[in-house]
Amino acid sequence: MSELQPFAETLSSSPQLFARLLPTVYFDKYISLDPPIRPSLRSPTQFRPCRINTSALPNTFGSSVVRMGECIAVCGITGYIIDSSEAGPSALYTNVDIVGRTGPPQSELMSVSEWMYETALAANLFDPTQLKIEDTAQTLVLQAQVQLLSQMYSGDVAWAALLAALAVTRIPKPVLADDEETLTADFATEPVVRFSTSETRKLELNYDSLPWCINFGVMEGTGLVLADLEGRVEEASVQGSITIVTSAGESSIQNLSLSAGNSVISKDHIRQCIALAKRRAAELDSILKTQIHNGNGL
Amino acid sequence: MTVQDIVRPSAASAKTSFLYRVDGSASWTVGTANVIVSVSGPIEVNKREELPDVATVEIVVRPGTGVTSTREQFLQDRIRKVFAPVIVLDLHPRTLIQIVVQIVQSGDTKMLNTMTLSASINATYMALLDAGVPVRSTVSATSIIYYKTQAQTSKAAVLIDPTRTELERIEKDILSVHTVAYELKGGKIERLLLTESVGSFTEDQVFECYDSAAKICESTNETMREAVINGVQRKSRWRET
Repeated sequence: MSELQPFAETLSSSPQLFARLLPTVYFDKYISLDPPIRPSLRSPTQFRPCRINTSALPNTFGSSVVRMGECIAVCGITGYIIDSSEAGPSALYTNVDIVGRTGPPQSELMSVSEWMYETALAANLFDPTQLKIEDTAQTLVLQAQVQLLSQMYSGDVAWAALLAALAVTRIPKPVLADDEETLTADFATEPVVRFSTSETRKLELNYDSLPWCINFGVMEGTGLVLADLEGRVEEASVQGSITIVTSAGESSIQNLSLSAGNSVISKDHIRQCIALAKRRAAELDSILKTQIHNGNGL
Repeated sequence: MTVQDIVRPSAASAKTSFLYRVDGSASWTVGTANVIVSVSGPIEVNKREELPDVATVEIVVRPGTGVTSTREQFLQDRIRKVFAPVIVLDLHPRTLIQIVVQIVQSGDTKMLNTMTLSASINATYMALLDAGVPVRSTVSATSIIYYKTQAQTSKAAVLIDPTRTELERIEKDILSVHTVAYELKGGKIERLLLTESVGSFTEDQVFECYDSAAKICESTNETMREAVINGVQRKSRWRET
């Protein structure tokens, strides 16, 4: 039996190069196995491992570091005082940025930033009246700065960092400085408000089970549902996506964004994703509670 | 009264081919929202943005008032997600399809962007048709809002493609806001393309919403057909002797 002569020399290259040049073919090699598996070796409905640390940053009202797989987000909550008359619709302003990046923000980052602001507004995470400063016409407004440490835009990790930071946020007690005054918007004078360095009170959230953000992909053709997409390869190969913001249990859903791409997304797909999302939300609640209880939380 | 009973005919209207220096243009008016979209393409593309096997799609959204903000980025992203699978990009590699969405009146209150998004999707589709850009199917979108009423405590009331006045009246009682875009073939619903649902809602409500949106989108499709027929008749007037 003669050996088959190759037409051309085979090029040997690393799997990483294969993944960069032909991500969809690379992905297909894994997902068409029986049972299907992903290049990260997760099963289709398996989520990334998640670690949460809270209250690690100084000079903040609350902070968190959340890691899911290779994506890391750090959130710091601070606040500033404004006249109640200048207050907008939201008592929480969010900003998402990538560490080490210079220049104007890229469009995907801006889209994530807008999504976070709108979702936080609609989810009504806390009652803004608890931020009003007594005996004055002023109110506190919270600012959440989320920094992504990985080069991937992960809205769900950024959102998780926001929730975890808010869950441990303590508002310092405002103290009126009797000896100083400030002009307000309508030219009256008011005593200057300073923050007490010793007394703080916990920010009360409207949720016991937090509304976490969970993302899914739906493949073209097979209609396979993949939980927790991550990385260039998965994003290039899986066009249909469903993003759900919900808390665990029988509660309502806060946000459902669906984009089919070339896939056909049916009601069964959506039902499956909602069920998986609720389970994951319960899991994340428990990870956060454990961390707050054991760690350096309250 | 269930949502199934509330299908009201789409109070929408479209105009096409009124901008002269672009390949296609369309305006979509629904409720108090009015959006103008221009499409040019396939045209020459920047070497930096050129793709070797497909056309590059550039989408720019300009607000009616004020400066562009992250909200326009969000709208651009959603419009791109809707049209990327619908335009036959591989027929025109190394070219550019440029879509400019000018919001004339958003039709939304300050906190919402659902009417802007659904009107922009419909206007973009009409403009693509007007420009003769090859597309695989029809697209249409609608906005559905659930809100609390004083009367009913358990069942939420529904507004479909509302005007700004209607939105402002119920603003404090809004439960959830849904923007739904469907792909249609031959006037019949083929599949869901995009949904954005925000607020507080259940799984059953969201499915009921998708079903109602399907009926509304089929009726919107009829409106689009009529607008296209009128446009073609107008353009063919020179044939009449």
